[in-house]
Amino acid sequence: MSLTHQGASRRTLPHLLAAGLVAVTASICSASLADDKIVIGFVTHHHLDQFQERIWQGARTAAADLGVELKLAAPDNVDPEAQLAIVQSLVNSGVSGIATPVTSESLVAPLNAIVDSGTPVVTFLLNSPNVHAPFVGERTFPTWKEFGKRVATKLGADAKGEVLVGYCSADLEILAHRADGTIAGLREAGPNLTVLGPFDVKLSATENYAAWEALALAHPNAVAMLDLCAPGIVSLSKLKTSGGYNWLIAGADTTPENLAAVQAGTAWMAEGQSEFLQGYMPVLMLIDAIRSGKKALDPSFFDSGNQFVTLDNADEPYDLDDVTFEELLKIANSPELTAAHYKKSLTGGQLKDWKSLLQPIENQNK
Amino acid sequence: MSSPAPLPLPWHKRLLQALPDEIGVTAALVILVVAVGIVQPNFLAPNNLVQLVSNSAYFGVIALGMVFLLALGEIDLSVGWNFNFSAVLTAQLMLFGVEPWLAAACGIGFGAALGLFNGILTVALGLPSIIVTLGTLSVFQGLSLVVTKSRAIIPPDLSSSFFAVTNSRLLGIPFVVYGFVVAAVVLHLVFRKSRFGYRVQAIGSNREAATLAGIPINRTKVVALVLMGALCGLMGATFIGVRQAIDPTTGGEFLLVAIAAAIIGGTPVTGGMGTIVGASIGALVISTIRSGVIFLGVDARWSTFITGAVILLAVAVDKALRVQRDRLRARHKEI
Repeated sequence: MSLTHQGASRRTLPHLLAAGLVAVTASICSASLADDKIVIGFVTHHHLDQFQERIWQGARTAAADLGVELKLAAPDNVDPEAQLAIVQSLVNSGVSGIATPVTSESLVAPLNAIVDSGTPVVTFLLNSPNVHAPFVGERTFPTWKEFGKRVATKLGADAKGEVLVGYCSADLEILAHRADGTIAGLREAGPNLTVLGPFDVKLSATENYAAWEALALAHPNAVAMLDLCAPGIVSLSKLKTSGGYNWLIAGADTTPENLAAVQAGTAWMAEGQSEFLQGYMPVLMLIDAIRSGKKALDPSFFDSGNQFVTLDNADEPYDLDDVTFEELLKIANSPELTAAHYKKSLTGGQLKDWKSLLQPIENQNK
Repeated sequence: MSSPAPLPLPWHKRLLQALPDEIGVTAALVILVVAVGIVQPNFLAPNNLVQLVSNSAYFGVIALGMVFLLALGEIDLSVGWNFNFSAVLTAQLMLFGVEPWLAAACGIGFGAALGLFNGILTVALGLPSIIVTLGTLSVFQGLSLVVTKSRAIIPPDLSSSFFAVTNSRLLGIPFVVYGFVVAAVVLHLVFRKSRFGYRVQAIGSNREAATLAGIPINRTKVVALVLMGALCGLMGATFIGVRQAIDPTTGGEFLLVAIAAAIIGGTPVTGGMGTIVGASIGALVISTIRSGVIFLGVDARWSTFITGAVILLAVAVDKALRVQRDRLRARHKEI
């Protein structure tokens, strides 16, 4: 291909300066991987909220407990192509194993190619049954059906009125499954309820609040507002207080902010999905495989467990100690307490024998 | 008394003026690759470099189309969702039993049709394409979501030669890389040697003069947007062949990187000129930076900053030096 001849001095220097910046960065960054060191590449699909940070915390704790190096990474936004580029770069840099969510079905073929090339993979949070790897996460439809049933039961079997269901992105299939489960549970336990949605109420705090504000104005007599993503409880609680509404509020993720809303009494229930375990278990599974000399793990499902947290209930899955709501709030605000909370089971309880807890991959959405 | 002949430039300035425009971004790419490779030799492994180019292909080809629009003084904000919607259509046709090659051709045509829709609206409403496509990006995204119902679309039968070809490798290099190179060569020739390319640059340089010269402004604008749409459709169809699935989320992030690639490569947003080769290399620069921060082990929270800082530095200093070069030229003419 021919290049034009129009002079180049104006192009050369800025690009050289840019290259120089990267070279300086290179000089202060970590050295090449030692041949005998286990390094796990852990890539989330974004890192924009506390939920993802808690997953990272689980991964860090596992790496520290097991004496391996961890490389954490995430794209700037939910961007499957950028996420894949990060995963592939980590593999090419020589990591021993990869943990990442299947944000898009288009990641299946490249992830399977990574498995076929001899680098073990574990997926978490977001799944595809077509990836040749184990999955750590929640049982989406059944969990959220239970969520819907609990909300309807709380409202009362004969309750009438509108229940609005929202989620933060119409693009993610897992959220569609959550919505399907929630709506199924609501209809089963609350046959007289009018279930509306799911509405796309966006992920960012500002947009989420604005979306719920508009829905509240459009449905002034709603009896319950449910957001299936992390930011909803806070937005709805603020609206409830400022607007004088008396809906039942329930939503996703036991982040400190959401638990604070439950404690304040503005929200009723927050559903947790053991994000610490979704970070810890993939790293543990990868290290177990690598130290056993395995190049690939069989597809299977590890249920990370769920919590339906209210002021009266903070039951934990597996043999984790049941805690009071106040204790759960302290744990949510402290990485050290979180790690300690799981330690007993991981080192000497049910979670230590995690292999016996593996299920067929098909069970993930049954 | 005649004017004295202009003084000859010093040899190094003459040398620099003789080098092509793209030498700067090319040199930077080489330096980036070498710099990362020195610290992390695995970065220079052939399979990694090939993968880097392969990952650049989707947004890279879109960046090539963006060069035409930027040179025209326009922009298309709907490219990412055009790509997604075209891929969705391609996959959906395969689900309906349409032969994959035909489905892919329909996907390309569909992308072009979406581009035509943008073009007709732009001309009919008399608005800049940035405003029109600000609306159509949501239209395309929304319609794609309606079709997908928020779920991935996976072609049911992968036995067609379409998948074999799009996943093939020649000399270890994937099909999509060859496609990227071929697209760059063809579009470079169109931009530099065709009447359409001259018209694009003329309109972007001086719209009034172009009108007085009889250049059909509206027709050129529509053709450029159709070309952009067709390229989105082409990459959408190719994506289905390579990845064998399309999700509602894929493609939405292509817009900014495509624009960034074109600008880093040397196409100014002010219009009037552009470089296809530069945009190709700009796409590789972006992929190299993204991959480089991973290889170098930059903390995840800093990687976004580093990526943005390197891009911003290249673009900002480029602008400053362009001003300097224009002054140098003007001074040389006055002498």
